[in-house]
Amino acid sequence: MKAQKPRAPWKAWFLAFSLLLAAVGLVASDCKAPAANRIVLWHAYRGAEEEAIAQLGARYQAETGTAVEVLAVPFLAYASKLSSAIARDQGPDVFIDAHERLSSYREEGLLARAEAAFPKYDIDRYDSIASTVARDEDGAAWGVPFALKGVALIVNTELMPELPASVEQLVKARNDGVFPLAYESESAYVHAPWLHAFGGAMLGPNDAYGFTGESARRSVAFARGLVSSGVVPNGADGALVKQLFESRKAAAIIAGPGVVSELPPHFPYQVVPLPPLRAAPSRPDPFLTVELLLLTPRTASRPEVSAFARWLASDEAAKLRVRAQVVANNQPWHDDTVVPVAMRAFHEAALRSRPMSTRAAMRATWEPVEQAIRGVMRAAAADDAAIDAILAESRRRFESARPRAVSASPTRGLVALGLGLLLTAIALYRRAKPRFWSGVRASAGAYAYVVYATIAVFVLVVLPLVAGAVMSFFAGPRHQMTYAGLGNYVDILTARGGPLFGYGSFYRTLLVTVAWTIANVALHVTIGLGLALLLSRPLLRAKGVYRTLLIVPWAVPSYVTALAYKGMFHQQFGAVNAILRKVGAEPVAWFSHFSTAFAANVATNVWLGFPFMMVVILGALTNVPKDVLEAADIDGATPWQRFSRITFPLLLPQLVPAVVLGAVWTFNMFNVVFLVSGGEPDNQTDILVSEAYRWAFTRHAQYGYAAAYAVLIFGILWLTSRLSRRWQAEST
Amino acid sequence: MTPSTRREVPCCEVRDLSKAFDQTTVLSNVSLSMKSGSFTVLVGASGCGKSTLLRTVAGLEPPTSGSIWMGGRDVTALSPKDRDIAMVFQSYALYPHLSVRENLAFGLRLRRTPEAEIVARVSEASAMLGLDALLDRLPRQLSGGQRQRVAMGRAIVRRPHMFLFDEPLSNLDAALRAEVRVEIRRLHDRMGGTTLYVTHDQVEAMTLADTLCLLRGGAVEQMGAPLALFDRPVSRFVAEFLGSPKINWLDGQVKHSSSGLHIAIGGKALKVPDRYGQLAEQPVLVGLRPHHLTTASDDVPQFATMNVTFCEALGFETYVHGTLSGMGDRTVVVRVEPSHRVTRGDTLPIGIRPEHTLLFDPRSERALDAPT
Amino acid sequence: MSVRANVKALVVHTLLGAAVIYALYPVLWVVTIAFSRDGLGTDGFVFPWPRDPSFMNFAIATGISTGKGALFLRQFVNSLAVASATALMSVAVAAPAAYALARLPFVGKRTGLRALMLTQMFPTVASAVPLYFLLSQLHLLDRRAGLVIAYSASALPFAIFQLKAAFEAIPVELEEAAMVDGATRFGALVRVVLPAARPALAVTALFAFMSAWNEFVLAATLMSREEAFTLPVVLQRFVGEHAAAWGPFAAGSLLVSIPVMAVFYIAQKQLLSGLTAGSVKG
Repeated sequence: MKAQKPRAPWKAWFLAFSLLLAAVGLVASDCKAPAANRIVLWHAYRGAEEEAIAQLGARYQAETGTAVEVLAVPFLAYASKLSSAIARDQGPDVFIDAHERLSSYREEGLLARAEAAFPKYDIDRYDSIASTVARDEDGAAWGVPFALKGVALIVNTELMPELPASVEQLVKARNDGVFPLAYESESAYVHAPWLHAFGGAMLGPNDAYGFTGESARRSVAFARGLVSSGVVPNGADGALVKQLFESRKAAAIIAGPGVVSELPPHFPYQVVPLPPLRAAPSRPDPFLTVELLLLTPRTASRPEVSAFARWLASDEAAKLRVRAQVVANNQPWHDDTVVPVAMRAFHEAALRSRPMSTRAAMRATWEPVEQAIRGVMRAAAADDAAIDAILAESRRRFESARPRAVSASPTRGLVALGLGLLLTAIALYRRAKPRFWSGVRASAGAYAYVVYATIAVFVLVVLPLVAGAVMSFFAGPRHQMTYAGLGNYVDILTARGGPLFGYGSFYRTLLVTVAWTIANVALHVTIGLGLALLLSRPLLRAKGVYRTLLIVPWAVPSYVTALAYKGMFHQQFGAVNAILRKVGAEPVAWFSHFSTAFAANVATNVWLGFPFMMVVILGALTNVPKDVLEAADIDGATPWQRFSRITFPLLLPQLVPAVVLGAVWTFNMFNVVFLVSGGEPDNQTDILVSEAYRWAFTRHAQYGYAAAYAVLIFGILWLTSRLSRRWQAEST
Repeated sequence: MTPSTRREVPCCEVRDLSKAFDQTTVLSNVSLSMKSGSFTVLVGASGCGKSTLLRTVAGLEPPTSGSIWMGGRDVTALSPKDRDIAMVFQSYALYPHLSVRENLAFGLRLRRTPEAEIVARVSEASAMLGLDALLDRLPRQLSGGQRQRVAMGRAIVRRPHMFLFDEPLSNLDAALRAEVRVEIRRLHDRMGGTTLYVTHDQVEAMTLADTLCLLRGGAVEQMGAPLALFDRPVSRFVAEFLGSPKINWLDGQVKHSSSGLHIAIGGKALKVPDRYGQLAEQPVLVGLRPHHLTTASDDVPQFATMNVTFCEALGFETYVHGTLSGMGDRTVVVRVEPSHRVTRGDTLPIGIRPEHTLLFDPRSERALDAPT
Repeated sequence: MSVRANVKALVVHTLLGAAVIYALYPVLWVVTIAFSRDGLGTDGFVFPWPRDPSFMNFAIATGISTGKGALFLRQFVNSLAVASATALMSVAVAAPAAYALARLPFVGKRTGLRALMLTQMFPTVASAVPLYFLLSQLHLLDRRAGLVIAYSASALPFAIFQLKAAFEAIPVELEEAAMVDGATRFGALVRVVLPAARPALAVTALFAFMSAWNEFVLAATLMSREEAFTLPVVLQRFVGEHAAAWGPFAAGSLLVSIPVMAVFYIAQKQLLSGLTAGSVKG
């Protein structure tokens, strides 16, 4: 027998350990301390605008000697980061945000007055709409007008040499394989011009839902006509619109300046305001968003911050910004030498746009409006009655999502809490056996092992969860929560007065969640087990390669692959339908039906999750003793018997915890649902957690509601685990 | 043992030890004393508590009551590391991530022994056990026998006060077992430590022990020199446990007669050995070891006739199984010279060497000569 | 006989090949998008292949095109440091706890285990705000240490479950031998149990590493300086309110996943080897 060369197992570990030590060292040595008196500016801009802001910050610092720190925050985290940070006095001195958030920021107390940065005599320096929205009813300034955001028509001058005089003319200009017009047909924001043209408004007076009645019906019927006649691509998102335009598959698009700035050089295009819609009584004015420089409370005593904000909005700075954005400052627009042609067109379009309402309710209209648009687009028939039914449903949703004036006297809650604590104490006291304390003393040695984990989990996991759970007794938006007792729970469990199994009701969503969990876990385990068994075959070649390739889904960040899946399931341009067409099958509108949208979600989540199961099972398989399997072979077991009688029962002890955890995680796996189907159609594929997230982030930020959902989810899982434990105990 | 002799402090003493897991009593009032340099074997059927006793001595299990003394010191509350013991486990428990060399050195390193000393002791042990060629291997690269020797080496390098063995040979094949058995005893004699050894194998127990301690149901059934237990078992249990093939049983009756005391078995009379002294007339269980029965000859007159049912020829001796006609239907095993060709169905004249006869009370199953 | 074996091998490789295609197909689209100049991929094609190949998106994603390459490197180091420290810390804290749960009897063990499981059942939707408050009270905002602590704590329950199962699979005799050899219980844990549980430690560390490596929401909320950002935050910058810059986003995601793939490839033997195989019995 050849003597095996001893391995040096510690070498690799020494290396790994020193790497980790280096990492810890790096963590400990945190970033250098920031300058004490610096001005911090936050924004969520990208591309050319981000660069322009960064340059301006650097320039101001160079010219005045004041330290300026500019932070570009991811859009998705922007709002929550702002409110968390400013409330804890950890945020920026200045930040840039859209005017429609102004009122809610003010209500939350996140803003300081901006009189010094935007004095009365500066009013004429800025666009008049911008100046107006930056001030409250009493004329006090709460922000400095900074930039205007809106959409315009971008035309490919080669495909459409003649600029269209009306929307009707535009849509007639059909070429083979080219869409005359592309826009985000299911976005409420881009749909707004049609609504405005037909005389409607998203939000009526007194926060009334505006997407209803004649104007809304005609606008969606018109939009449906554009899509169904093949003028406009179906269900395109912003990226797809841009892609169609760049690849010359769309002659014109409705989009903002961002698309233009990323076009390749020498691309033949021209920007114009949206042409009139002859069929409608009014002009199709898009929404206008005014971006403001907003000051936070801690700047009140710092005149240099106001000076900086004023300078950013000044003529001098605006001249530099105007290449990247439609500045709210009037001065650059008088000077043709500094303004790019396309920007001027966007400016013109902006001047014709309609400023978005600053009401908090405005943001809550997006979800029901978009649902209504999608509903109409997908409806088999779209006569007036059908459309009206869809609109009525969307209105019902808007209204049921509105925060309710539930308030309860906290006395009863406090009494209940006190009683609960007392009863728990009594129960614990009675349950404690006489040997309890001596047992605790005897366990002291073991406690030394668990103390750090206990503290860490308690402080950083349990406490925040409990604090979150306490929120479920409060109602209303985050900054004005009122005690509601069990009001949120009652609301949820009675489906807010709607049908108990209606769309979006707790019970229906629960059923979907259960189906979602079962489908996912079953497929995870089946696929993971199958692959692990194949990979554990002793004579398999290229085992390492297979193993590595098969965990790829686990290694690539899930947010990008989930979005890739969404793209693959796109009806017109997705790879899945392309494959179906190749094999001669009908393409499927994946997100139009519950079953297909659900299947798309499951396909994505199974793809994301099977590598984990595979790895767990591969690990467990190494613990199955070979001699037992060999004994079974000798006993004449077939491969199936070998698996079902020996391998599987031996795997079970390690499989069961993984499956339980997997089930719990899948139950609470919101991001796949969020990113892939987005709950489509009509929130039907939403699961309980994604519903909770909607309450927290899109529906008036009603954290209390979200928390109540979280508590209910917890309750369901806890109950299930208890029942299954009891059931297990009984069956053995 | 008289009070006048100089009392030597025992190396290890177990006093009134009891151990219960939850409601189950595993050991009850076990007392045991081991002289320095002695080799004590705990033997018993599985579940008799012998491993628990060993583990309690090692300090791996806390006793429910009672105490353990080592070198005149109460060590009951001490953790294993402070007891100056070394242990060889049934499963060997080699550290899978360490080479043989490091496995051997592990305990010394923990005790911060100087490096030179470690090297010296490891090479000494490795030479003693023939591990030199294996020092750089990992446990998984060794055969079962090699692993066993590494486990012993790990104990030896420590030069402890006391060695504990927990069925160390049970995972080896028979030939190897016999070989290692001898080696263990040789090592014990050479190292001069005190050894406590657990086994269920009575051959190991008999061959290794200075003192044999037979446990039954968590209590000491009998303790003493191996041959004392073999020749003078205090109970039917001990008599049955030791000896292979097992002792034979016949039902008899103590009778007084004119010629003195005898045992009547199926109409024949068997002489009662002198050491039993005076016995009342009573039914008895007669124990006869296979080698105390033999074919009738001039020296040993025929006592009974055996109807042979089965025959085991081992080459150097032959065991014949059968029943004695007229003496019940208990199977009896007799050792005969291999020159006897016996087959099934034969009848064999059997004689008895009466001085070795063992007598037990059939109800209490205690030996009739046992101290009460 | 050998024909049958070949057919069997063919079937196995076909199945595995199909699984690999399933696993890679969406990723290939991401690769295609990353390497396409226009950052576009899914255009009604079946086979993912960049129409207009270019490294532009990688240049944008890494900030090389805007002269921020050094910053990206720094952010990469941030991610690496935070994820590694999280892996180390969660294993270091989880291991003793898991050991006690696996081996030592103590009052409250069952309750503790159940409570640990319960933490996994509670959706975190409402706990982000209290956590932010807590970390700001502890002066851990804007510090990588704060991220590490938050990540480690959230990775703990799973790590404890994993390690508990692993420790239970290790023969008790190993520790007993070490204790007889002169180790304290803790010494036996460190010198014998942990080395014997290396594969499980590696898996657990990898899990913690990955969860920290890919986490975005907390990092974006807690970190308010560009030099302190981790890579997922940087990546998320390519997603805007209305449209995402798909090309750089995809390119960046690929770059982010390379270290994880590398770690897995290197560690896979450790992950799957049965290290305890030789230590017990013959």
